[in-house]
Amino acid sequence: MKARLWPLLLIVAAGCAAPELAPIRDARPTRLQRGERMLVEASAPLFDVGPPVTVTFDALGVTLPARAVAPDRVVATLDEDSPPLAGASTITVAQGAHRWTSDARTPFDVELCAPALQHLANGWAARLPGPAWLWWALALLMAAAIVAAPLPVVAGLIVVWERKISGYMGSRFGPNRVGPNGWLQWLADGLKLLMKEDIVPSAADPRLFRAAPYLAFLGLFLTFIVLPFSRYAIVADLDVGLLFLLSVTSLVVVSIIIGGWSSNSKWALLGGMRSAAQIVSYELPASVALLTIATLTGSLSTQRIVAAQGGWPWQWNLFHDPFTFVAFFIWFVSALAEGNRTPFDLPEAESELVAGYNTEYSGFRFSLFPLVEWVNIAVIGAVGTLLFLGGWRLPFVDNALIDAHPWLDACGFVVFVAKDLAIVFVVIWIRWTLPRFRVDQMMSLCWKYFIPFSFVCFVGELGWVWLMPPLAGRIVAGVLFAVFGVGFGGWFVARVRDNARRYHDLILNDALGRGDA
Amino acid sequence: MGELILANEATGEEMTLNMGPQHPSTHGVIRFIIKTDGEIMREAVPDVGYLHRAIEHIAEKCTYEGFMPYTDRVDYVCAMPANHAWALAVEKLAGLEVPERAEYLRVITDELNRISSHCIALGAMAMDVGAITPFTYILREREYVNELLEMICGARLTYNYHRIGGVGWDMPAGWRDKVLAWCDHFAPVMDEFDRLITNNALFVQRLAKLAVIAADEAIDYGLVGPNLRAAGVDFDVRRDVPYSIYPKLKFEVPVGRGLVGTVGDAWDRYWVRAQEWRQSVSMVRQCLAQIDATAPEFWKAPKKLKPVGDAMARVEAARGDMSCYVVGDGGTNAYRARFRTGSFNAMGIIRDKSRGLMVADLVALIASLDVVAPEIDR
Repeated sequence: MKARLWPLLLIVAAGCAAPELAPIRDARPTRLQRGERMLVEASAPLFDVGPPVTVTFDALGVTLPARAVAPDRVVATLDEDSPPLAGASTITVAQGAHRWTSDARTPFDVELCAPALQHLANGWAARLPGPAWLWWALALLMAAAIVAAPLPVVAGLIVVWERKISGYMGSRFGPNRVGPNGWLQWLADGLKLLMKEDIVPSAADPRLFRAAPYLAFLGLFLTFIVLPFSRYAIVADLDVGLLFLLSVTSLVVVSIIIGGWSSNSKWALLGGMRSAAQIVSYELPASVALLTIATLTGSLSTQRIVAAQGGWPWQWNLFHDPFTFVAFFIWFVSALAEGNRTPFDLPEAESELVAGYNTEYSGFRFSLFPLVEWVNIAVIGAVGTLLFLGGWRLPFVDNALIDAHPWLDACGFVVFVAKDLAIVFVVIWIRWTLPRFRVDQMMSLCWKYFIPFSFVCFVGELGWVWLMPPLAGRIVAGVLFAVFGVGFGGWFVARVRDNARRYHDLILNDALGRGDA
Repeated sequence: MGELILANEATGEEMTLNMGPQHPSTHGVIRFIIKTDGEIMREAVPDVGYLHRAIEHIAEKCTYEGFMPYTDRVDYVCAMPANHAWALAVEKLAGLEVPERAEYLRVITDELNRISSHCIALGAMAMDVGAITPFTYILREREYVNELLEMICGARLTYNYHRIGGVGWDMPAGWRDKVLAWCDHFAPVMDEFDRLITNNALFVQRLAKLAVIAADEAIDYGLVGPNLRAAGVDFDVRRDVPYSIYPKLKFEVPVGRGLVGTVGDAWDRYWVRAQEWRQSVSMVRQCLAQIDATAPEFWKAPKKLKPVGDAMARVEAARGDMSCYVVGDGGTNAYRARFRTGSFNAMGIIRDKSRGLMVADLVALIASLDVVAPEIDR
């Protein structure tokens, strides 16, 4: 009994020892422009409305006059002649003799892309002939190409990885011929598809048929704008990041319907219709599950959601409280459904619909659909990582340290990718284990179970954030997760040991006198 | 069939889907014409005949012995029992006695082949409802069986092992131990397969209460083998119309019990096959234990075979009762030969059972009936 209890105690102790949130939090826009107002929120009514307040950016040494508009809200305005403020900093709010400092974990968001682009385009426009908008467009195109270039590589490598995993799971090898250990298989496949004839069926609607793959690609490509791979590796930290993510991924379903319908093939049409019903339905529980996190963090910005978490697992949103924990699984399963992955791969169920919505496609246009599908897995992993698994946060490292030592940012990137790949692995694992739902079963799962439960999570999270005192919340969540973890972990270990005991000798080569494999 | 498509199109509300003959999950070249209203099928009409090779006519054109390789092609997934059926029919016609050792070897190979055939059937059923790994996983086991059969007869698919009056070769040295080693290995694999897919919640959800075939329906449509037994009819040719050395073996006949749904649903058809694995393994073990007591002779037949009359032999193939009817007119060739196979009858019930199912269920229904295209058409 004693041996069973100590991890429980450890987890509870760790939960209690986790640092408290700072009393104030800056809710600034990503970049403070001249003349713009900034808002500072407090976790409790701290300020007196009326007496003057100052807001100081500790690292920049800038102090702004401010005004308390409510007991928990302070508004400061940046002077007209002051330069825009950017750079990492904590802020200190002072009123009379009181001083409150914000949490160092709260970022003063860094933006590299937009200023760099602006600099580049302005430089070109100043030195080269032609209208300025042309150089701007060129700079934007260049940036888009830089973001888009890794996508085929990401998709290709995940495809090879998936084929290898599925091979090992199904007692096969998977690709092992092209390149080192088969890792260049994606290149060979992609080149082959590029060289194939681009066939448009004579009965298809040629314009829509041609446009559909690009729409799918666009939807996935745009998500990369708001994915924070590290503190600096983000294209644009939009204030509506989560909303943006949800909306652009919906483009994929539009493209699938267009592709399935315009092909003028019955199988493709069935696939497209299934996909429409499925993705539209599952977007609801997925969005509500994400709202749970937005409620907890108080922001839709992806960087802020990451920043609100910590480097240790018990600081992740996943283990914040039972509602976020359940929301994670609801979101994850819904994401599988939105990404057309087993057990929800009905739109392209190869044993039923031949190839589903992309039956009539060939060559390069066809290759875009699988590319989108596999990039989508990486996006699922990235979204799960940033929302629930702490993103790029490292233990013991705060933003000031990252700004001082850029190599720590690279570590953050590695951590993010590692978590992403862990989720990708689970997605692949599920695909190669489970059968497929039927359409009606999939729909009833969504509407009868996931949507109600996701709302329960959302409302429960509201209650938790509103009513639960922080320390009590940590203790309750710590105890719950410890009990759950010990129980589930014990069951899992027992099952694996049982399997290992029973099936230790599944390969019969020696008995049959077979040499290889 | 063309007029059927046009007739369906005329109503406008329903869509006619042409499934096959090159559809990935029709288990060979079979074609279905499906009338659907969205995902729900009004009807699926099977169209057979794409794999007709006139095997029965070939039997009239070559000698009794020479026809044996063609019987492999009657059902290439489970060729041994077809060999057996032909040999049994001709032996009956000519009144031949078969050495006991040959009978044992025939039953061992029959049962090994039944196991490998059920591997395909169950793996394909899992794959048709979307689980791909169980298929490759159980195909590995089939590879082992193929290897055992290759050791005894040199072929992995079309065995041509049984002969009129016996079998082609005795088992090679050491083969017995290898088969026993494989039997020991296969026992936990069956359990693991159950855990992987048979009792998988999604799998059960897809197959339970799907396309329920009642006992009287199964008899009316002439279903045989596992499909019949899954419907709750306790009939097995090996036990009820005994042939070869089956009376000497102890085995049970698994009958559908509706463990997760109704008796005769698609899951029962799956489950009965999974249980037959266990029975077959036990039969192989029993045969290997008894075969040492037999005389070493494995083939005995007259030089010239010119029987007169007609004979009918029934064997239990993997897809059920395979009957072979042969008429001899005193020549070296059969005057007429006829195979009655399980898959053909199973195709007949699909039209009736497909009404109101979803498109995805049709695939599961076909897979659960375990139809094999060459066996339908021959």
